Amino acid sequence: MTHVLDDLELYAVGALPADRSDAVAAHLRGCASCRAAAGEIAEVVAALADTVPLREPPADLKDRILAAAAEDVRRQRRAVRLPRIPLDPRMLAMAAAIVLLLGFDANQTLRLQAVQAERDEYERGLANVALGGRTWYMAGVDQWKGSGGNLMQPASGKPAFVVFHDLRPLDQGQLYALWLIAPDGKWVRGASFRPDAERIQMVEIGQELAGFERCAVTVETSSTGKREGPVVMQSRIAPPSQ
Amino acid sequence: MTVERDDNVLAEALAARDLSALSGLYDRYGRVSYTLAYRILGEPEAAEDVVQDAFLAAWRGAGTFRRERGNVRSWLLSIVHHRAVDVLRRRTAFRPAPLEAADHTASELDTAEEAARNVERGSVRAALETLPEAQRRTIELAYFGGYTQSELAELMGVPLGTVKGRMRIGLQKMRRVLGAVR
Ligand SMILES: [Zn+2]
Repeated sequence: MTHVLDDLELYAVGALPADRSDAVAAHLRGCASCRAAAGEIAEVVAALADTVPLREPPADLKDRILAAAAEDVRRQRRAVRLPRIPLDPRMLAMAAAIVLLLGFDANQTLRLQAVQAERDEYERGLANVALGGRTWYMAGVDQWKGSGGNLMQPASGKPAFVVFHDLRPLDQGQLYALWLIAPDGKWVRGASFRPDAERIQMVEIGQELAGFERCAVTVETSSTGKREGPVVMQSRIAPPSQ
Repeated sequence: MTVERDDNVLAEALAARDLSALSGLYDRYGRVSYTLAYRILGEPEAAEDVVQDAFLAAWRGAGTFRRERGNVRSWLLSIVHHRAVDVLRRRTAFRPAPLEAADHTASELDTAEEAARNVERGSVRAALETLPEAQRRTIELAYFGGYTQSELAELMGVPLGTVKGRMRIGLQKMRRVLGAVR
């Protein structure tokens, strides 16, 4: 690996050409020693701002920033916006799940840019999943081919949830039901929901996974009651460990 | 350093989507961020937009903050700087003269922390002034003027390697001087 120590000063003041700057940034993500050097230089460079006499920002700037951030939170709760990056949808669903495991509330939808922008965060998330959390992928069948969802059981004791991708829209009056199926064939409804037209949709499960061996999604006309509609995706889930 | 410890707490709260942490971050660095953006862009509206964008970017990307890549202050100011220079480069016509005297806006000292910060500001200015003219100009033209290495080479009539060397030696020297006063 070629280190980038030589370019760190120019990088820190933003004077490198874009392609070189990108290359340095990429190297820094993977090299702890260059990163440490870059951190020290960044602090000296940031001190340059102190050579300018302080200037008072307008009094309402803070309120505008806080209002925009609050709006950001509301919007995130409503929907997930996807970056227009071609990516395996299963990975997207996984990425979405990982953001949750990294500290978002499970009932909050999320912003995927954060994970994708920062690869090490993503890797840390994968490690988290591997270390303690569990995940099972449900693939769509028939007309639902191309749809799917990751059932996630966080290690942290947070409730289980599913991150769906590419859910087909439904007719008026229809909804999706998520089921957990016990070894004795009993179906327990974990959630009922309408597709929200976003590419990724997260659904929380109001039900412990322990004791179930399969999960499935059906199309129903009622948010309560027994399963009646067709299965559109499903997966086996491992039996409880105890 | 307690400022730094507080900052790390702030960064964690920010990553946990705590709006009061964003408010705290602004209280601490809003003014220096605006000062920097204004210095680069030379006018208030653009500087306000840049500061707003930068704080929102920090808010959205707080999870990407890494202590090992500099402290919270340098992380935030690098976002401000990056955005301000972006805006500057998109304007083809106007670049404020990098060495123009910035006008002074008095700021009241409301906390001990800020008073200490002001002493430090004085020492940073002094540190920059200890540099030979060529090094100081190279640093200022790049950081405040948004000049790239090849523009600097052309402007100053020196090879790229000289630009790189001046930048490197100048910043290393500043670091030593600042390290000595801190
Ligand atoms: Zn390296």
